[in-house]
Amino acid sequence: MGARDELSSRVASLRDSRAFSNYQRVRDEVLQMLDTSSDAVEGAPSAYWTHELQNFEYMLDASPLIVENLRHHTFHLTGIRTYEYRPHRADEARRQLQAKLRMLVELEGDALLVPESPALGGFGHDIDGALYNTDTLKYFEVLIALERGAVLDEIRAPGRKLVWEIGAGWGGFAYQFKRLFPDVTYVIVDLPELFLFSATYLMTLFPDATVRFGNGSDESDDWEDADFVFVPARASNALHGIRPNLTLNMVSFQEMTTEQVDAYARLAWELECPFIYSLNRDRSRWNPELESVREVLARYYWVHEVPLLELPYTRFPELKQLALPQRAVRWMLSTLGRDDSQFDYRHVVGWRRAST
Amino acid sequence: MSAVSVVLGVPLYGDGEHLQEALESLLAQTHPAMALVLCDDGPGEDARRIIDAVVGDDPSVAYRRNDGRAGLVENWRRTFELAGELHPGAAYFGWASDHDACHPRWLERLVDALERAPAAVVAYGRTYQFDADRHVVREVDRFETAGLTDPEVRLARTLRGVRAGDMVYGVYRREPLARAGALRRLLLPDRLLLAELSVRGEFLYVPHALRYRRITGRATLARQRASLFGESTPAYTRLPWWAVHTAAFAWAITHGETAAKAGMPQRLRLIATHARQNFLFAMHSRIGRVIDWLSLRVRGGLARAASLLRRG
Repeated sequence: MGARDELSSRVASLRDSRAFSNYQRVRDEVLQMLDTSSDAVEGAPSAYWTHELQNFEYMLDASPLIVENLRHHTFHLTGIRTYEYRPHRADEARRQLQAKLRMLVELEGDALLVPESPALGGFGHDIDGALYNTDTLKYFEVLIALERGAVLDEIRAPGRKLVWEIGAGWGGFAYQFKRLFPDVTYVIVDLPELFLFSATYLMTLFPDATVRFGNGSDESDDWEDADFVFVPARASNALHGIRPNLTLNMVSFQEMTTEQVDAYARLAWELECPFIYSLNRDRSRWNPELESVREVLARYYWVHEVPLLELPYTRFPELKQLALPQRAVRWMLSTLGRDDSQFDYRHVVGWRRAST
Repeated sequence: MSAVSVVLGVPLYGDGEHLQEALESLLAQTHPAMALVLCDDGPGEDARRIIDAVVGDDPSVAYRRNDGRAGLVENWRRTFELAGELHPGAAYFGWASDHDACHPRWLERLVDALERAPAAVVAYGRTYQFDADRHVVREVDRFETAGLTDPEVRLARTLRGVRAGDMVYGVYRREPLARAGALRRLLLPDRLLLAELSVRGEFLYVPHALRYRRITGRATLARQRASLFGESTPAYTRLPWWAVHTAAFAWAITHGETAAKAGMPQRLRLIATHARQNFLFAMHSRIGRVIDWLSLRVRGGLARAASLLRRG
């Protein structure tokens, strides 16, 4: 059999795969969502996202080969490339990742640790036979913050729970969360194009899951029994009628306008969601349209920081011990330097205010 | 509402700047049999206005205003006494601050922990201290004496490691708290209270009972002299606090319930332990304050130098 025939045969086989079939269903839903317009402020992509969406337009017409390695294409959303995790460049980076993993485990044990799945091109450094990458550790850190913020006990309590994530990227956190807490309806509100990643990924990783796509109002009646619900940002009014136990946002409030963050926080408050969690910078240097994430959230929730590591999720511990003069210089710089704390990532848990 | 089993006493003082947040967090507590008792020590009417707006006519909340400035210690005592008068059947009591915030399940989890541990006298939760910008400045060190059956060991450990300013905002079994005199009219009364309670039972730490404590300034003895005693500060507050504490402790355990339970040799050992550990703690604190002072001076000097350089 020649290369051409081999390729044809492989593509034909992948075309019959569950992953590709999931992708096709998701694409149909996404195209339908894109046909539906709305004036909701939450739905309009920012200038930043308008540009980013153009970069992966090809995902609207992805081949089975692309879907097979879907995770390799999520760098459009995360900036994390598989190349960084190849064995030939793994030594130092792997040790750093392992050191940070150890720091996180020391905080709260490993009960909340969910490694990257190898499915759909999942990648990472191999540590004790499991895959870990920056995102894996970021989500682990978020789960620890939710644990220390005394929120996860609410999810563990008996009865079906509903979690609402605003902007779920490729679905990595939803995957971890659902693995840990199967009795949860996980609602994702996002730009429709991102469901090409998150919905395809989650439907493939949880083949028995019940999935709904919301695209209008008054659709939430049958969500309670669903495992995942995907709602386009412009149709977030469809959420009226649900009562989330937890609302989450990671690293996208900071990319929105004040008006958008306010609209989401207000909606969470109106839905009587008792807790809102945010991992964001108060301000992003590149986003002049946002006042401060915490200040906006504080209109509806009493916001409380949950401190974990000194390092932000994007950085790893330095394994080389600095010499005393270097440490002294760093200390002086930190003493003399200007206050950049508004640009730090913070784990924040908000408790719903009685009134606004 | 079911019969009240736990009362939170909230001593109020000041302009109520953070009272709304504090009250909302207390009213949001999920414990089904909780009551609130608020004692207002003035000076203005601000607290009353906020209470009216936040509490409304909630029957589980009682409000009293002192005739004149009573001072912090007396106001705390009155809060405890009023809780006893209004809800004599409540088995648990806790003081809550008018400027801090508690997770909605804070009380439920602490009471649950106490109910599971009959030997415990107080339970407190994970505590984060935060500043005016709502940044967490530190997590309070974990401390507990669960499982320690020897009162002497519990006392020594308490005097070495207790974080009284945070732990005092725990939930107590009411009876041992009453026997320990609630809060005595001394400097660092929370420390003495916890020392006395450590002899009577175990301290529990409950990590998921989350509390945020607003830091408004350094806790100094001068500040305590100015705020604890109302109009007139007792002369004995000029004596070394650690010596006064040991004297008060010695009096407490040679009178009343503790004295009846413990023989003289054990009481003497407890007093000796108290004197030794308290003195060491006082010296350690003094050295720490000197180091803090020096560090502040160095940082201040560097900051001034940097400011001059920038201007230059």
